[in-house]
Amino acid sequence: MSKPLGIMLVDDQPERAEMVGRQLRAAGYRLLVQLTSAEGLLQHVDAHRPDIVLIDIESPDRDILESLTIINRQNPTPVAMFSARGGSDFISRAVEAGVSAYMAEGMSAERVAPAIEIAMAQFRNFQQLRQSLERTQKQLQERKTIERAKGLLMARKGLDEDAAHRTLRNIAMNSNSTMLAVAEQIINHLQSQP
Amino acid sequence: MTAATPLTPEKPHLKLLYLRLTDSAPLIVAREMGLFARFGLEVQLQRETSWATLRDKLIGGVADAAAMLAPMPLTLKQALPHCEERLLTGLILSCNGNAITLSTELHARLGLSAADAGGAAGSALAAYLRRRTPGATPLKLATVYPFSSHTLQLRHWLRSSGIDPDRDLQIQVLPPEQMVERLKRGDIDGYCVGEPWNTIAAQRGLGTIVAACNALLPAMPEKVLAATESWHARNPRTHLALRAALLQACSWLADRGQRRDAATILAREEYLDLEPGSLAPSLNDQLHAGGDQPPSANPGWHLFAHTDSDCGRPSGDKAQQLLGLCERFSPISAGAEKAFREDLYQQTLDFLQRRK
Repeated sequence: MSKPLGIMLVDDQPERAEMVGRQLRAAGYRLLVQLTSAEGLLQHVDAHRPDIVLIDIESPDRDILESLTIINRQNPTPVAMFSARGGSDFISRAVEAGVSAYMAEGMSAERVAPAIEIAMAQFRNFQQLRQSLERTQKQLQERKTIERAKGLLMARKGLDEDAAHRTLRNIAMNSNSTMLAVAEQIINHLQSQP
Repeated sequence: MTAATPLTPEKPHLKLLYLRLTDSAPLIVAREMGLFARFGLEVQLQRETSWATLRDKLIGGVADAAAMLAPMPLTLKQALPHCEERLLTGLILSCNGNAITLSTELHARLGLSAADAGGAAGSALAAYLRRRTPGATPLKLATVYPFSSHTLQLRHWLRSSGIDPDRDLQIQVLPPEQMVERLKRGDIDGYCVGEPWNTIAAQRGLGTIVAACNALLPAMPEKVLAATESWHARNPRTHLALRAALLQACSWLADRGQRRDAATILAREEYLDLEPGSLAPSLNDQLHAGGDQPPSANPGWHLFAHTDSDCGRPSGDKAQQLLGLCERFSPISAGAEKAFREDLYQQTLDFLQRRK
């Protein structure tokens, strides 16, 4: 096989860039440079001559790449994800994952598509990781609120922990509400009293 | 279809894309005034930052249609050579709306006052470029997309001032809403952009407007309602309903008496999230060049489509004119003008006529 493709990665999310970079290297690609912003983007393209530039579809820095490719007619020219071979399914999956890619003149869509697939998979993984992190943080926050309401019930009403917990649970069941909602109401209520 | 037959769109729930610009007004006004609902549509509007992102999302099927730069559907092959999808438009939403702004610093170096018109600024810029030492950092001017009315207007202005846009300075692309900030940071020396980004630079003392583009190339198609060919083929009635609603919104906006209300609506947080005072001047045909200059009249700064004018008609002639201007710096594709669908515009007019 010929020399592995050289890739430039532009991503303002360092953790995600790390994930994408690791997978690309593991698949045998050369990761030429990893940028967190378009600062000096043109100079980097000039210095590294990447075969592919991978960039977040939402990044306004993409416009700088477009001016490079179309107005100034330098490498790379856009755009791999709109490959004839991949068809519209490939395009919509890339757009959905949030990946856009620019490839060098003369590069075939077939050669770059696997690298874009790797980036797409990692973008999706990152999205899922972030969602699950948000969920965990939310759950943690909910648990803290419930503990706080229990603490207030124990202090103000002289209940032990089990009784405080049962009180919360019973109010929630009887009012067809959640423990969290009840805990928030109790905190509001007890805090407004001296 | 008779007047009694209501239009039944194949797909009533739609997502439309737009950018943070004054001439996104037709979409916002149509939604606020219930015009989409009048034609059986429920429309969600989604604001995007850059033209490339908007283009790719439309092609990737994330949205149904978009308010897009008029030359974009005509030059898709140049921008995305590997893309098999095509774009089309059956409605020009508006003409004009752009201006050329230079940084206050560059403007001062040219020895101009804000009262000097575009021609004087162009000649002064040409003289300034000739005086510069060879090898000095080139001046950078920004436009919003390689194949945009802005690029065509900026290149036209430079050429008619005796400046070679490919040799004498650098032209780069930036998203419209980043222009003012980049000008402030000194990353660029000037730009051609749609409103309100010229007025905002002038109001903040960061730039001076040296030319209103409608004074350079009058009645140039600016924004079109674009969809992909495959979406249009699947949703012809939805597309007709969409064009009908938007043509009515444009006609409402064409009446200058309505535009004060439009500025207030556009300014809201869920839409452009800007000061009404930045949006009102261009909607009222008022040009604040910058500095202490009193505003001057700039008639036709925004020309919105109207059922009684030809402004909204995407004719073959208009497509050819735009392509002719593009061809001066990039080869164009044979048959590209077919992206402008005058027949669809006529269908909209006939449909609205029957409903009266």
